[in-house]
Parts: sequence; structure tokens; C-alpha cells
Amino acid sequence: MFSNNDLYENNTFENNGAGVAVMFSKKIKMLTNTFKENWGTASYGLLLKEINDAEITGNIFKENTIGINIEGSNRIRYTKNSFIKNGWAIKVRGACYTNIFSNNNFMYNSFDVSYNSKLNDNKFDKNYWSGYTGYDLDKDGIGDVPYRPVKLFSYIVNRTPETIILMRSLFIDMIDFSEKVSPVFTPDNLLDNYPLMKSKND
Amino acid sequence: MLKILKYSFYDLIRSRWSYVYLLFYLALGFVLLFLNNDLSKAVITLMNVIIILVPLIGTIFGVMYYYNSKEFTELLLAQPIKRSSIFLGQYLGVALSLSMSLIIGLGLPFTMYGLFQSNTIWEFLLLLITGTFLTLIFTALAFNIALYNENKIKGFSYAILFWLFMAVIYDGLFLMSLIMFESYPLDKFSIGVTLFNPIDLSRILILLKLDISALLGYTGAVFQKFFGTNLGVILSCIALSIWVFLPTFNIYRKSKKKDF
Repeated sequence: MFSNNDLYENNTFENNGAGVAVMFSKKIKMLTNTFKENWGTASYGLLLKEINDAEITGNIFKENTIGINIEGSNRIRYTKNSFIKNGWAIKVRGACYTNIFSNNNFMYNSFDVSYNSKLNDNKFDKNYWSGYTGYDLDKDGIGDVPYRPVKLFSYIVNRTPETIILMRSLFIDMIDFSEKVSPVFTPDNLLDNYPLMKSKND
Repeated sequence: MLKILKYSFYDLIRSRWSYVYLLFYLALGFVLLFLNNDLSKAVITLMNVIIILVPLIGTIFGVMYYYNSKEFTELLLAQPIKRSSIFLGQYLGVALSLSMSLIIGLGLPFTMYGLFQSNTIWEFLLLLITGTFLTLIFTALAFNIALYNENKIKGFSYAILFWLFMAVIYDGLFLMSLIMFESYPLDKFSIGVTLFNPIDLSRILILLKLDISALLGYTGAVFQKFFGTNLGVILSCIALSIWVFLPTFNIYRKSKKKDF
């Protein structure tokens, strides 16, 4: 907290009861860290609160209940991170503006991105999403149909947490699908317009 | 009763449909394991299939078998055999042959891909157990529906409607009620409502054994207790057994009084 211009590099944060919390700081750099198996009811990989102009690059978030919990953080660049098998990959709690997520891998997370409002000012570009079902006709490696990372179910769970008991039921899949076709509750400008067809696994 | 059970069982085993059912599971299991060798992922995918498909097949097969063997049943009724043993024998014949198709159809590919060496064996066993439970429950319910309806078409449509209700509509109503009463404490209510639907119950039972259960425990202390300890598994197993027992008992009760 209250410590600017920090650099976190090559650390591994594993099996924590809570997770790594970074708050009220500017110009932080986080490079190639690994956050994994912070798997409990109140655990997260990384918690950001009031962080501005930071850069989070090349980190691996694996099997955390929440990969990154973001609140009141602006102008952060998330690039080349991998979010693998998390409960929530990214949970946006509000007041987060002009963040950029690009070239990340989102693989097999229960929820990719969760928002608690309809307002969105963050950019998602050129990420790989394992839940992407579109096609690539011109074979340039970028899907032709935009991907919507926020599912209706994650919106519902945010509003009424108890509904999580319905996870993976057929009805939920159906309403998720209909929301995907015509978004009503989730932010309609929250899209990845250039989803990658293949993960950046190198 | 055992003789009738044996008769229906052999009759069904020789029928084309149980071969198709068996082959379907064999194909599903082999294709899944061929596409990715990861047993635990295959179990998750299978869970989604089993939870929807097993009840559907159980209901339709049960209703179909009852109506098709009606003449034979009437013939049997003319003999000095106890009524309950005729109907329970037929019910068990259908349910057991379906469960056998399920167990063999899924067990064979998984054993060939090294189930016994892997640590997912308990999850797989749980999958088979819930599958069997679901078959027993839904076949019994189908027999109930058929016993109450003389008209074939009516019986069929009720059975399918019933399946649709349990698989989809119930969850929809559940979700709506949760959202409507969101300002009240809901955790006990939601666990209670889950116990009243065998499909939801088996979904929860399987989820409990997977990693995601931590996600479910996130919302509150009651969930934490239910999903974090063995209490959840025990409670849902008991509820499933009650779900088997009640319809079976009703078959027994209804078949005693029914006019033919």
C-alpha cells in the first residue's frame, strides 16, 4: 500500500488463504509472476484497489477462486497473461476505467469476466478465449465474430449470490445463449472484437 | 416377482433399443476419451450429458415399455400372481436393464483407458451411481404416469412434459424465485429447493466432488457448511434414496387398486 513505482518479478504466490493485495499505488509493474491454487472460499490471486497506470504482463493465474479482483483501478495494461481454470478470471467491482486487456489467454475459467454494472470503459482486444465458438473464414488467426466475455449468469450471480447453486444446469446454458445472441443485461459494448483462434502458448 | 423381473430383463436385453442405448454410451465414452485423454475432464463432460439424457431415456423407455407390454400384463393378471410383484418386477426389469447399459457403456471405455490407475475413480463411480439413481427414479415416475393414464398419447405427453419440467422449467422457476426474494436470506431455501428435484440434486452431488465446490461455498456460511463438508454428500444421497422409494411405493399402492 501507498508505495509507487514498484516492480514485482518472477514470484510465485501459492496456496494462500487470501492472496496478494496491492492498494493505493501508482505505476506498478508486475512481470512474469505466478499466482496459483489460491483456492478457497475467500481466496483470490491478486487484488487491486486504487491502482493507476500499472502494467501487468506475462503472469500466470492458475486455479484461483478469483484470478484478479479489480476495484477503482484505472489505466492498467494487462497483456500476455494466462488465466487458467479459475473460478472467476477477472472480477471487476466498479470504478475501473480505460483499462486495456490484450493478448491474454482465458482458458477453462468458470466465469471469464464478471461485471457488476452495465457501464464499461475497458478494452478487450486480441485475447484468446477457450469459450469462443466463432469461426475464422479468412484464416488470419482472428475470429470473425466478436466474443462477449460477460455471461448473463455471472451478472445474475453478482446480483444474487445464492443463484450459484444453479451452476451448469441446462436452463442456465439456455439463458446464457439467448443473452449472447441479444445482450440485455450485460454491457453491450463489452466485446472482444478480435478474439484469437489459438492460444498464445509459447 | 423375481421371475417376472427376469423375464422383462431378458426381454429388454434382447431388444434393439437397449443395444442402441448401450452403443450410444460406448461411442460417447470412446470418442470423449479419444479426443482428450484426460479422464477427469471426460467425467465433467459426461456429467452434463448424463444429467439430461438419463432422465429422458428413463421416462420414455418406462412409459413405452408399460404400454407395449400391456396385453402381456393383462394375461399375467389372469394368473394367480400377486399384482405388486407383476408391476414391481416389470419396473425393476426396465430400470435395471437401462442402468446396466449405462454402467457397461461407460465403464468399458473408461476401464480401457486406465481408470483403475487414475485418481478420478471415485468421481467416476459417483457419476455411475447418480446415473443409476436417476434411471431408477425416472423409470419409476414414468410407470406412475402410465398407471394413472389409460390413454397412450396422454401418458407419453405427460411423461415428456414432466421431464421438461424437471430438466429445464424447474430451474427457471427456481432462478426467478431467487431473484425475486433476493433481499431475504436464501441459502437454506435454495438448498431445500434443490432437494426437491432429482436432476438438480445429482448435478449438485457431482459438482461437490469437483474442484468447483469451493466456488459454491463462496456465498455464505450455510453453503460453506453444505458444500465444504460431507454433510452435502450424505444429505443428497438420502434425498435421492427417498426419491427412489416414494414413486416405487406408489407403483405398489396404485397397482393394487387399479382396474383393468
